[in-house]
Amino acid sequence: MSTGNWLCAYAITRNRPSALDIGSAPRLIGYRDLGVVVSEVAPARFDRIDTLDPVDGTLAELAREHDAVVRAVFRSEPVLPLRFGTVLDGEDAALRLLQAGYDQARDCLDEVAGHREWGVRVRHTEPAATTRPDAAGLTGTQYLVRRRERLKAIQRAREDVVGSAGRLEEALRRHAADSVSRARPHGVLMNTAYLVETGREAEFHAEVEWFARELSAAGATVETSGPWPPYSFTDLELGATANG
Amino acid sequence: MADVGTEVPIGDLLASRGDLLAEVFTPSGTNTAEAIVDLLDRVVHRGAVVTGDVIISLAGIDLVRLDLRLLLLGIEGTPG
Repeated sequence: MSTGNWLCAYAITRNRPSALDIGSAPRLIGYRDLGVVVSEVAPARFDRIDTLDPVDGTLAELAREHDAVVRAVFRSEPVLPLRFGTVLDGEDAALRLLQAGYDQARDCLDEVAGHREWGVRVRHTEPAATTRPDAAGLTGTQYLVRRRERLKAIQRAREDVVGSAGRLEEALRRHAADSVSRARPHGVLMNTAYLVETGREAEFHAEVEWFARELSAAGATVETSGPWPPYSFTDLELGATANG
Repeated sequence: MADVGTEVPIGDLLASRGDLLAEVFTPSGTNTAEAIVDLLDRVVHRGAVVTGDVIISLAGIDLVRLDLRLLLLGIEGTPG
């Protein structure tokens, strides 16, 4: 039966209250050794999301809040982040979710425990192929030869960078428990999220640095983001119904 | 299962938000818009999905996801 209050759910974690500070909201609703982190929510909060300007508006603000709660728990306990906008129909619903999704959630939590997510992106801005060599003092043939050499050099540089980015991706996979490719906008050759065991982060980052020097010499940059809670590695669906 | 339904206050989680966000290392060359897109892509598009009657559907959310996808394409250009 619903208690009538809406709860915004952030993450599933271990039911270990001793690891968490005493205070007000958000709070943990526990079932066996799992807990779901929730806070009371006024539905109107979500109405304020400006779909025309999601980056600077309420969505970004709410997403940061969501992330802050997940991170606060993640500092001391493993987390299974729930998608933003997961609103539960009261405490009974939160309990039913944990009961129905118990095995799935616990397995996933065990998998990500002791790991953090890191994003690695390789960006390569090529010189414009349309830039023409200075034609002054050149014959037509010389000009065409110059231009062809220039295009070949751009092509070679591109191949070098693509090869190097591929080797980086391959090398990092060996230091990670899992990896997920992310959308690659224009100019981005590689954009991958890695799930890295905390004990292997040093070697992971040493590898990134080594390749960053190689790629830098070839005119590309390597960007790292993180540590993130394992957002990209908790791709599961937890179903719970009244009879679940 | 004596601990069924235990409710424990977690603490003033949001108080330390500034520190937590500072943990995200954004190197030079990564602008703020990209950092926010990185965050939104993880928080809004990833994470476990809950289904069934325990969930309240928020009318706005699916629309937001759709808009966000369009937005990501707009900011990031053609995937490839």
